[in-house]
Amino acid sequence: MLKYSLILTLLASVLMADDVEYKGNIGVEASYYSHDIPNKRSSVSALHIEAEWKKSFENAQFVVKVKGVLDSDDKERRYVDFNDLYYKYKFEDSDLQLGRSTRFWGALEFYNHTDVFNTKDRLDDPFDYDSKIGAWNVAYTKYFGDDELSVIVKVHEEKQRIQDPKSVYNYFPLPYDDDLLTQESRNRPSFFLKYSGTSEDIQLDYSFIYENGYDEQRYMSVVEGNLRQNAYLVNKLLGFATLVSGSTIYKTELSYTFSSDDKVSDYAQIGVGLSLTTLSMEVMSFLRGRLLSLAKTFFTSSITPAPLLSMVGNTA
Amino acid sequence: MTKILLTTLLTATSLMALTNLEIAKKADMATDGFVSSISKTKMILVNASGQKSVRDLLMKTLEGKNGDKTISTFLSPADVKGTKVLGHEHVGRDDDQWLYLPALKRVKRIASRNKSGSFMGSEFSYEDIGNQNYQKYTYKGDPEIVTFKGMKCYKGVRIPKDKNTGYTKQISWVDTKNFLIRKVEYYDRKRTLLKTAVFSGYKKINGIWRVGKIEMKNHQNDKATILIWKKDKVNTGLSPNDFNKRVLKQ
Repeated sequence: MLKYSLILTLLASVLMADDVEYKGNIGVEASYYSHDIPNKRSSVSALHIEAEWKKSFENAQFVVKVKGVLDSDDKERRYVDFNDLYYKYKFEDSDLQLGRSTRFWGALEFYNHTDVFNTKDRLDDPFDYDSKIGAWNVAYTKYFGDDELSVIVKVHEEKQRIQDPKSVYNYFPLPYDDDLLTQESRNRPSFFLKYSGTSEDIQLDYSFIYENGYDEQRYMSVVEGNLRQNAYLVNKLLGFATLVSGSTIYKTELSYTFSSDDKVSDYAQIGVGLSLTTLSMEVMSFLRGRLLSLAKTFFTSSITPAPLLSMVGNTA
Repeated sequence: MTKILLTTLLTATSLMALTNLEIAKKADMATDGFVSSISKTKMILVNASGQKSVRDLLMKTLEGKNGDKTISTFLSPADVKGTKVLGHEHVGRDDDQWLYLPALKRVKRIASRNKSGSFMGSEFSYEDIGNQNYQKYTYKGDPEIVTFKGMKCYKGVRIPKDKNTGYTKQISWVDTKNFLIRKVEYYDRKRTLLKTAVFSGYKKINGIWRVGKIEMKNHQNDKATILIWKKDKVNTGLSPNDFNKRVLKQ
């Protein structure tokens, strides 16, 4: 109750302030699925609302982003969430951010396995990997020209809700209980140390991240006839980079996870991408103990500046 | 009569005494020295049937010895609002360019070698938008004195040095009075006329000449793009920190 009172007070103060920059959009989702699975809906219709308010001060910024979904059938998909609700104070060459926020990490276009900061929002479009649940965190970033070093502390693990049993996206054989099981307390901090740099001599951007805390991936267990998610502690090393050579762009994402849970082995993930003027291809490998699976390839029309814009414009 | 003839002769001699390179150097100097600028620009895209779409841009530029730094932010319409392009020019190597699209939420490094690619779907290429430093060209032949819209101009040929250029040559019209560029014709790799840019609305801001309007007409697809500078400030106090990658996400 106190949390929501605080949120509403902060939101009201932002909305009522002068010089507030705001934007938003309203969308209608309507889809039909041809299937013969019993007790599953064939169609989905929902209203989506996204709004963002930004108040800038001389050395600070206050940001509120809210997302609302109203599904005509699925009661689980009737929710409002403040994914970004943070205050950022800017020093001369650094900044301090407090609050709830989403972060977007990675270099590849299709799927980013280094994008581990937030829990994915499975109530929204399950194929939109950028649909996330905001995380409460404190972050300090020091800038060195185009390079930056961040220390981020996530202070709470978010639970993950899913669509109701009649949704085709709910494929669980047992009822799902969203009450998260954690190896230690749900408020056990997860620490992230991130360094991002840009090469002076070649066209290269790179980032390295170390995490000590809860893994973004989770496993399921059956508790009293219900499926529940388990969050486990890891030490994780991540890296991603983009290199431009001539008119070709090379991208890679790498990660290695040291699990501290007996039920999960250490695992590695590798993703590489290549973008030419008329072709974009990405290959991802997922290794858990031994090489298991997953190689995906896709093609897009182009990745050069202007066509990229038109491609994204169509998507948006 | 003798006085008039002498004056005409002297004027003609002084006009013709300049080489294409010297004219280009003076044209560069006429608009250089703004240190940094912040401009609000209207970009009007005109398709072959004359239909127009309008975009508003905020353009920030910082002059540098080794190339300018620029950041362009789309202010409208809503579908491109917040899109930002950051460019760091370099002498002797490919420029650095990054793109931030609100829909992707990540800063993307983009290939700058494709200089002939369209800048934001307009008839301007990245090459046209970038710094037109006179050292980026070699100059051919002697300048001609011609009249363009009632103004006496030096007409000369310049050839881009960059091997990734989209042009085989450009013909420029430079005002003989103040060395401001009035018109440029761009010839494609097949050596045929591709585009014509007409520069107008020049005004002095803090002693620096600034262009007010550029109309770029593509002769091969009949499309055009008009850039109009609505607000323009120079010596704005921008620093290199205002052109760091982190600015794209703010």
